[in-house]
Amino acid sequence: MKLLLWVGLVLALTAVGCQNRPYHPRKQASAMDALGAQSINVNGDGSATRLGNNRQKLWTVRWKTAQLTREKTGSFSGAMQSVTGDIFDRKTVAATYSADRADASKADNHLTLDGKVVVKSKAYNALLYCDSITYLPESNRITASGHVRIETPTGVLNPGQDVVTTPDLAQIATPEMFGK
Amino acid sequence: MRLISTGVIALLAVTALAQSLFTYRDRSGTLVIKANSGSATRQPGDNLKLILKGNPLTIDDKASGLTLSSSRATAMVAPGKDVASRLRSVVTEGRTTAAQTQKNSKTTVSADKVTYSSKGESGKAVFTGNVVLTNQDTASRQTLKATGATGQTDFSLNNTKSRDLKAVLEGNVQTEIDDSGPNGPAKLHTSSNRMVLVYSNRATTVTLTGNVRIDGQGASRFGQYTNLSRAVLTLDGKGHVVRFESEAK
Repeated sequence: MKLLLWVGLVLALTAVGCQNRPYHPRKQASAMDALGAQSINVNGDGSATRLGNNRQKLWTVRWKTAQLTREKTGSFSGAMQSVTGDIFDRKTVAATYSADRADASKADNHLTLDGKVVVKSKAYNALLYCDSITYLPESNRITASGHVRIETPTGVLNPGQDVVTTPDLAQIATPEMFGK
Repeated sequence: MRLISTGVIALLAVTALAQSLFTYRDRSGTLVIKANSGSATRQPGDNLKLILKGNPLTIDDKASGLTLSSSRATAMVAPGKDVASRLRSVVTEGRTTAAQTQKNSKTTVSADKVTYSSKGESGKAVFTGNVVLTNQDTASRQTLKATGATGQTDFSLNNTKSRDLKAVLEGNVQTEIDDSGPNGPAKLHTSSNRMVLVYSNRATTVTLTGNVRIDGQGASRFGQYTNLSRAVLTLDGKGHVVRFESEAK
């Protein structure tokens, strides 16, 4: 009986390891994954990386606690609390962030951050503060809303409304002005 | 009750409008830019390019005393030596008003398009289309008003403590100078192809060239002069004409 259990566990781990997972929760999440659980509650630090179709890193997230769901495809979605992480743009880290909560979308590669959101540009000394952001990797932009404030090397922007930015905060604009 | 409701709705609308402005402020609060919507893009050297749209759109640079209001503008802001940033350039589209406040003087120019640039310690604004220039001596309340097709002003960026501005207007320039004095209200109307105004701490000179015509009205000591090729009027600190030179054709 014990032998059967070990064989089952080894097969499960091998199957998970071979999957083309776009999103990789680690530590406790991976242990739960091996047991084949669908809903995962993680009480403790963990991290994950979301990969795009071409296996490029889109974003990483590190959490204190999380409630994740493992999809049949092997991808994960769900909520995470007390998060920090990186936002990637063409293989390199464009920005780092911290927030009270994160939500990884099941349907797409979107990452939503809520509560005391701070995004820091990696290449350029700019900081974005707001209530909520969503990173949309497919269009290479971030939407930010609620008490948006951006500190740049030359001064401070208070857009007074939702804004759209590039992942590195090099462009910040009201939605109709983005890309101009 | 209905009046109160209307008032409350209007107040809420004004508050909402005030909160929705896209605002840039440098770290010293010297340069403040506001618009309905906008975009800020990082440029090399940590310069910031701002594309601004909507009414109100205002650019207020307390360092140079320059205020611009328009409906569309593209501005370039550069980091300064300290916390104050520098307004490097502005190009506006649509009717624009530029106000320059100096010691005891305020000059306002409106035009269909304005291009402003700064270099070193000086600023230059080029005005195109239906230019209207008004200068008021804030101490004496004397005014000078001029209109033309195009114009340009050059000024010191440290001029809030002094009075140092040159303005050039071209193309069917019409000028009205308030020359009122002890003898009563008086005005000078002039027309010319070109006019150069030089404001300084000591005096103001108005140089008119090309088909110059001067017409004194009211209690003015001037009569009528026509067919002059050039005329130079010197105004004292109170805006009164104290010297007049002319050249006939």
